[in-house]
Amino acid sequence: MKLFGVFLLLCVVTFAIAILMDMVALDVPFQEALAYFWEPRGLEKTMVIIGFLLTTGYILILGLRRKEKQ
Amino acid sequence: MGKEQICPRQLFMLIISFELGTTIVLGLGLEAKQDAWIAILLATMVGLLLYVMYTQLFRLFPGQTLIQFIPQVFGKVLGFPLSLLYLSFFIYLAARDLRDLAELIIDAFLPQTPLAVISLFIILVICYAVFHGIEVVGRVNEVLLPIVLIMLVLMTILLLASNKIHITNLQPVLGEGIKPIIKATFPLAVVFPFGEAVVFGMFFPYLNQPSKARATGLAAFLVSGIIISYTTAVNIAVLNADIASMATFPLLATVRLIDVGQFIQRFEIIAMFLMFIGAFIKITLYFLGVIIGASSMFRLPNHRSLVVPVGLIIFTSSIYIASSFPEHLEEGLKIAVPILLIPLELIVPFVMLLIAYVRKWYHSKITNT
Repeated sequence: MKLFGVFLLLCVVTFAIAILMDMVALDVPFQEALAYFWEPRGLEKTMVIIGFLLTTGYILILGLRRKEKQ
Repeated sequence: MGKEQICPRQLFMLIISFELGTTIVLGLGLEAKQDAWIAILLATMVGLLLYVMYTQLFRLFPGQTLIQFIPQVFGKVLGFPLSLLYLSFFIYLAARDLRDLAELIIDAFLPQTPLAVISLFIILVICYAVFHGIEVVGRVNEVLLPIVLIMLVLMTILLLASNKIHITNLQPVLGEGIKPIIKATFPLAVVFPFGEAVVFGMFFPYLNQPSKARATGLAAFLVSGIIISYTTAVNIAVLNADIASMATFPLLATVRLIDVGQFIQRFEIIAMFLMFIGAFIKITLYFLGVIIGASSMFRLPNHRSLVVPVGLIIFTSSIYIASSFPEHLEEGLKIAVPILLIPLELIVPFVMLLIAYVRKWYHSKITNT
């Protein structure tokens, strides 16, 4: 759980920095910058979603293995 | 990871590879036109002062990484978010470098291949390197850096043989005075790439002779500054200042002109090789900095468990950071510099040093009375 929390925290802060850059670059409010950040891109979006699912699975397996050892 | 160690020679070579990184191919200080090479030398001098500041912090907090001593200076309330910001900053910079490298590969060799596919394969290799830790990366770099230097020498020889180097392109020296040079140096050339060495604050504790951190780093800064300045001068001498400043990858444009007797041609691989090695070491060091920092900050028992999640964040950010390469460059050069690079590379370390000294002075005053 701790690892998953760290993962999410780093995700949120890093993506927030990237969205902030878009906000300043495009001179638009947060919502528009967020929509621009997550604009439709077929293959890239699919790969990222698969990546997030696999990473979540990996973290879950790590957690379960640690519990088993305990 | 606690038992890992690097020697001063490895630190020296790591800093050179890190500083050459993406800078050597992307070009630096070209706003100063034909005097760009002077601007880089000036930025190197300022970079030396920055490095002295980083190592001074390490001397005040020996054996601790940047992320470990930030809460000691600013307190837990301000220190925690600031440390987190530094971790995300390193991820952001790694993502920018990954994007630079992937775009160069698309531009030079694989125009039909999607960005995500190239980025994925690069990040997989980097994850493998990070998984093995700083000691292995240091040793790998000992093999790679000499090849980079050989490639640079080879490039010069081939350009001379092609009769493409025109020294007149570098004249007049200081034709428009010192102003354009100072404008190109501050702040861009100082924070990129010299200020980025703030990440080495995560690796000083791994040095087996910590007292040599300063001398080694300063020597490495000087050598890398001279190499970057030299490469920029060659780019300008071959392309002229206007074309070099307009080219997305000036070094790539330069090596494309190599043509010895209409037989030895197409040496783009030199630019590709320099960029790949430089970016590989740079991304790996940022990545390592993040997992070392995050595992100590959140007290995770095994740093290796962070490799896959952080790798994914770098990969995702590199794709979503900008919708096109010109936008990516614009954000990196004009927006990230005042918002992120100057505060986190110059202001925060300076304030930390100031606070640390004031505290030291205050404690010594109390103990004396």
